[in-house]
Amino acid sequence: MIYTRLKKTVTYHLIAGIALSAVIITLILLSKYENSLLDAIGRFELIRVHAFQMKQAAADMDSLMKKVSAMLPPDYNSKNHRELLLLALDDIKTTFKGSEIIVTRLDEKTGELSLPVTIKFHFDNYSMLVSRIGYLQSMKFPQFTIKNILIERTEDKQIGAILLCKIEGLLKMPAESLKDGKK
Amino acid sequence: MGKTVTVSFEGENVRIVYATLKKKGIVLDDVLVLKDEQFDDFLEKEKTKEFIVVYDFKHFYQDIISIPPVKNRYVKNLVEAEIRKKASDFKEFSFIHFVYGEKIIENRRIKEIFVFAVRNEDLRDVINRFIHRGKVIKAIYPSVLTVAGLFKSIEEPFLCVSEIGQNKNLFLLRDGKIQFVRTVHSLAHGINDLDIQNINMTVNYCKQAMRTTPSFVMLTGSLCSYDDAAANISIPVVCLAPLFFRSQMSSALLDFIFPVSAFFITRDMNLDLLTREYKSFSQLTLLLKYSTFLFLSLSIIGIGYEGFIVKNIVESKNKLSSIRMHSPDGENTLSLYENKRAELSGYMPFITLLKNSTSIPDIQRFLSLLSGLTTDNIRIDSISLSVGEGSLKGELKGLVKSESYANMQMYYQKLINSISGIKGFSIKGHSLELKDKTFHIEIEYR
Repeated sequence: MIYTRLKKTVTYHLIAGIALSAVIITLILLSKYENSLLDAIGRFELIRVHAFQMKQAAADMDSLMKKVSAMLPPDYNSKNHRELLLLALDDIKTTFKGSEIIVTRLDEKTGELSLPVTIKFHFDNYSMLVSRIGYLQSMKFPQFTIKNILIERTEDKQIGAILLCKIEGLLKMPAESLKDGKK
Repeated sequence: MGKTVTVSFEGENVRIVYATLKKKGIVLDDVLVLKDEQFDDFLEKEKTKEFIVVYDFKHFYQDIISIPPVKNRYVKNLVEAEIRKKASDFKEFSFIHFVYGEKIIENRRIKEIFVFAVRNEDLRDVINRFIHRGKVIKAIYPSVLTVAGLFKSIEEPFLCVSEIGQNKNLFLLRDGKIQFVRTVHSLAHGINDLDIQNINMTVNYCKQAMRTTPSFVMLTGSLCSYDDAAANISIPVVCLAPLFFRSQMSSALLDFIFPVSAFFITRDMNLDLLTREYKSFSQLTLLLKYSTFLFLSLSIIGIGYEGFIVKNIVESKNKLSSIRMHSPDGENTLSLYENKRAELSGYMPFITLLKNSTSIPDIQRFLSLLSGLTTDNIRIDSISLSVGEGSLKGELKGLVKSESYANMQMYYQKLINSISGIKGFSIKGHSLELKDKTFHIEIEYR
């Protein structure tokens, strides 16, 4: 059989085939390893970005809490929220001297203390009215939420025409005090 | 075109011709004459890989056989079957065949085919000598038919005579195709009376049996030296050398007529006697060699690419360790974030309260903007405000102080225009009562 003469050629062919197979297998393994490394780099980059984002978020939260703390009344730690609410009502009374202030019942709903307040007063200076509204809006803790305002001209038998303002609103305060040891 | 080596086995001698094939013929580079027993040593030392072989087969079968007209692809099988039938001592054989002509016998068309068959065992003896020394045979031509390669352009029938050892080959050619072959034993080299008798008998046989009259007798190779002795041949005698090679051919080269003729044989002449087994072996060897080369080439490319990947891996590893080194401490950052979030949850009611207050438009600003209205001859009696979802709804009521209706409308329109001109104000509805000169305007402020 002349085919026995092919022994050498077939041997070389097999060696070349085995070598190629080894190269292909190594290539696959190396490619997989390279891909997993690239994947790991991508994940680490993402973790790094997220870590920086978390750091930034923590700093933002800290700053926000400081801002809120700065808005709290100076005697916040020594008073409870009901006291603070009534203190604010007293403040309003002082600011709106000579006005009629009507309050109803202090209510607590959905984690919020609210006291409906109606303020009636006469005025003859429009800018004073505007500044008083500004005062009410500037209250933070407790907060005065205006519902309605009615300004009308009425006739007084003795004085003549006068301007009357009626403000309806709510004095609001969170029901729970801060949980970090403050009241 | 390229260098080719032809080996011609002629009795005890082996004639070797080195030639360069060119577009317009061949250039003979070298010739060698060896004894048959020296040939194996020659093959061992020779660097050339591929050879054309011309062999003077002692035993062969040649005939003109008749087959019915069939499609070309069936001719070979039919011819093979006919040879097996007619030459019962030929078990395994290789053969060449070509259509000799067509005849009509009893109103049936019959194809006449010239066949020349050689036993595979005879071929193997030749082939193995090459295989054992790692050489490749491109083709094996029988000596007796090789000379036909030189006469492709001669249309008229003629009888060609060649000499191998002491044998004389006589073959009839027409249109460059072999029609008939006869090998006769001769008493000595050259042309003697017995040879002339044989030639004349063959000419007569052609005339009678084949109905073909050869125009001339052509002496080839070394027989050209004896053309004077051929005067008694019944038809004209010509010599191959002057006709085809002219002055370029030295008389010494006449001895190499067979190996030289082999260069002129083309594939379409179908004179190759290589066995199917050897052809398959050659193809397989070639396939294995090419695929081995391909595998090795791909391996080298693959190794190169692996180097490229390894370089990328090293770079990626360095980058990864750099990222790990410069990344913030994940656990500390996470615990800091979680702590701040927990702390913030206590502030959330306060933050929500603040957030809700910012969603309401600024009432102080609304009232300030109202003070800038054009209120010529207008008396505003009441302003009412109610806080809605992200907007303020205001209502103005009052009186236009004018005696004439036209002026009343004018002052009222000025008021409307001045309200519309304020950014953030939009009038949702308004009315002016002509009867009592009172008006009513609904405003939305965002």
